[in-house]
Amino acid sequence: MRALLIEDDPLLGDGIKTALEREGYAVDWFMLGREAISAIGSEAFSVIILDLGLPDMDGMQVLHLLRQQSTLPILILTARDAMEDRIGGLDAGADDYVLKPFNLKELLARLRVVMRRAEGRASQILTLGALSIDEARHAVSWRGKDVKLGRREYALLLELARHPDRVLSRPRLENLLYGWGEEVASNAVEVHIHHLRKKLEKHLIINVRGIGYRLDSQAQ
Amino acid sequence: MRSIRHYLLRTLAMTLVVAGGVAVTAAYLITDHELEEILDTQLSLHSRIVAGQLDPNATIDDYARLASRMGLPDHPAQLYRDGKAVPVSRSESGPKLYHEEELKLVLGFWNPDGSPRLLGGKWSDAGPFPAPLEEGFRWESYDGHRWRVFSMFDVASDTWISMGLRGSFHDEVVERITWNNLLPMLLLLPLLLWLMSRIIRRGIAPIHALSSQVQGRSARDLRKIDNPVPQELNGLRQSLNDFIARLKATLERERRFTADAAHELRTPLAALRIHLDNAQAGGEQSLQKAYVGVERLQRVVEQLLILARLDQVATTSPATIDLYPIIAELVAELWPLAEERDQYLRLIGLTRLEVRADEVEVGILFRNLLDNALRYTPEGGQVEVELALWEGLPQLTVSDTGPGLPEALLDKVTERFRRASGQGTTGSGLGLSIVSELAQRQNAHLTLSNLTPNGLAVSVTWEQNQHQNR
Repeated sequence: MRALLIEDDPLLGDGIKTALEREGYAVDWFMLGREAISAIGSEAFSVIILDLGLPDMDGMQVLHLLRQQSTLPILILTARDAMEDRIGGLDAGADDYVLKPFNLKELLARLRVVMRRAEGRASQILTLGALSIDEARHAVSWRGKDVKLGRREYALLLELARHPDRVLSRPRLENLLYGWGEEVASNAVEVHIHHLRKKLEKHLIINVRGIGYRLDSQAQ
Repeated sequence: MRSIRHYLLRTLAMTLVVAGGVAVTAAYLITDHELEEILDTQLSLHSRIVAGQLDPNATIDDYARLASRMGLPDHPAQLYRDGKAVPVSRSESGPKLYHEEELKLVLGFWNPDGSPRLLGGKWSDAGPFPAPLEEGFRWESYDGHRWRVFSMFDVASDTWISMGLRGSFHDEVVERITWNNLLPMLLLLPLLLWLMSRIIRRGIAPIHALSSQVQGRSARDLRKIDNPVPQELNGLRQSLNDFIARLKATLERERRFTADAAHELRTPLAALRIHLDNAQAGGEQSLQKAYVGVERLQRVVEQLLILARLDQVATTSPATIDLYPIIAELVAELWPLAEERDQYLRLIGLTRLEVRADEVEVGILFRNLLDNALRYTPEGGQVEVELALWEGLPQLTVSDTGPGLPEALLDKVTERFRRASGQGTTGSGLGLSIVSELAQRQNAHLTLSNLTPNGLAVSVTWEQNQHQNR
């Protein structure tokens, strides 16, 4: 899960980034609207978090430009509780909003909801054959038994499970797992896949040679 | 305030009544005079005709015949011989009255010695009518009535002739003419008043329309008044529209200020909260960052309170003060902040500079300026405070070696919550708006300029004529 955070306030941005990373998100944080707009074209993200009060551009304008380029779920942060501002944000293409100051748990829940909705799911528990993932609790169970996973392993499994039976290329997985500028070992994805297969079932994740991986939704 | 409608109605009605009164009185006086002339002419004319008919050799019997013709019912003419009344025989047909008014016109004859010869009916009722003493017109009182009398002496027949008309005849005619003038006016008056009232009502209807348009509005409705008004109300409508526009601008500023204040308060609050959440989840530096958030919040709250106070207190209490000790004290106070960031802070220029200002406000102003300079200047940079006379005007300048401001922002940065972008520092965007507001109150003006190669200089220059203005 890779989030694009657009927040001009250094202190708040830092706090959100720290919190999201702890939750297993890779976070790319931009302080200016135009930087974020140029980033969205070149990188793969799961969700966008946008603060409407930016110094260089009007938040609404940024929202419009983002929407022109991307169908990704967008969550807006706003300090303005005037009804028109919130409605304006939703009408301009935001999927949801959070009013500052917000509860961290609420922010995380709303992020999960907008991403889930973007995938067309209604439940927060993702079930594929014998695999079940509870996004809210970060809990994974295989054949009814809980399995303990590392932060990156969980994130990797979630990305694969979100697009079952679809081949996800290795660079794309790397992209979704690690933020821009993060140090990534060349075999990092392979190592995490190896651990996942050991903890779950060897045939659950299928290696598509030379391209990447896919998750078999029929695996028992 | 009195009502325009009532005022117009009252004054116009009064004017109407007075004008009518004057017109009727004038008509009365003119009629009175003209009628008297007409009647006098008639009296003299008829007297001449009578004189022309008199036979110089007429005997008493001729006069007796004449008397019988002149007699009126109940008022027989009286014939005299040697000053004594002689009975007159009635005419066969008896006296006849052709018109009521005939009773008021009387003819009389006198002998040259003033003794009566023949007097018409009315002039012998209470003894003989006074004899004429000279020719011409005169007023005579007789038997309780006033008479207009014309007298002439006919030489041929050696006779005084007098013809008289009762004053009441003249008075009644004048009265009747006057009434005939007055009556239509009195009948027309209510109609005229009603018409005037309608016209006035229609005339001032646009005022009512305008006022009801303003009155009926909700407090939030700040549209321009655009319904057409007559020329005379154009100015008023223009002023109202100007006022509405100013009100709208003020409200819009207030609204933006509230929104901006919400942002400035909630953002550090959100940051504070998320860092506390992170700290609880075991983040090592998060607690430290939470403190930074608290400090920032505190600063914003303090600045908002300063602004609120400035908005409330409209007047300052200026006195002639020396800037140097105040500035020096504050520079010393902020010295640790500069030291912490390894910045070179110094105070140069005059050591005595008098301005007329409020000491407390100058303190707040300078503190914000210096605080801004230190905040936006990178570590190891330079901040210089200078007291000088610039073209004879007292001037306080704070210059730094920070990034300066984009040219486009130089004019706007004094607006509340306007903040230079892309800077890592967490300012609230209120500092310079406080400075600008304070400068205005001190009758000083604020100049911002970028320095080469980098840096910003902010000058506060006190106006020369401040002594006169205050």
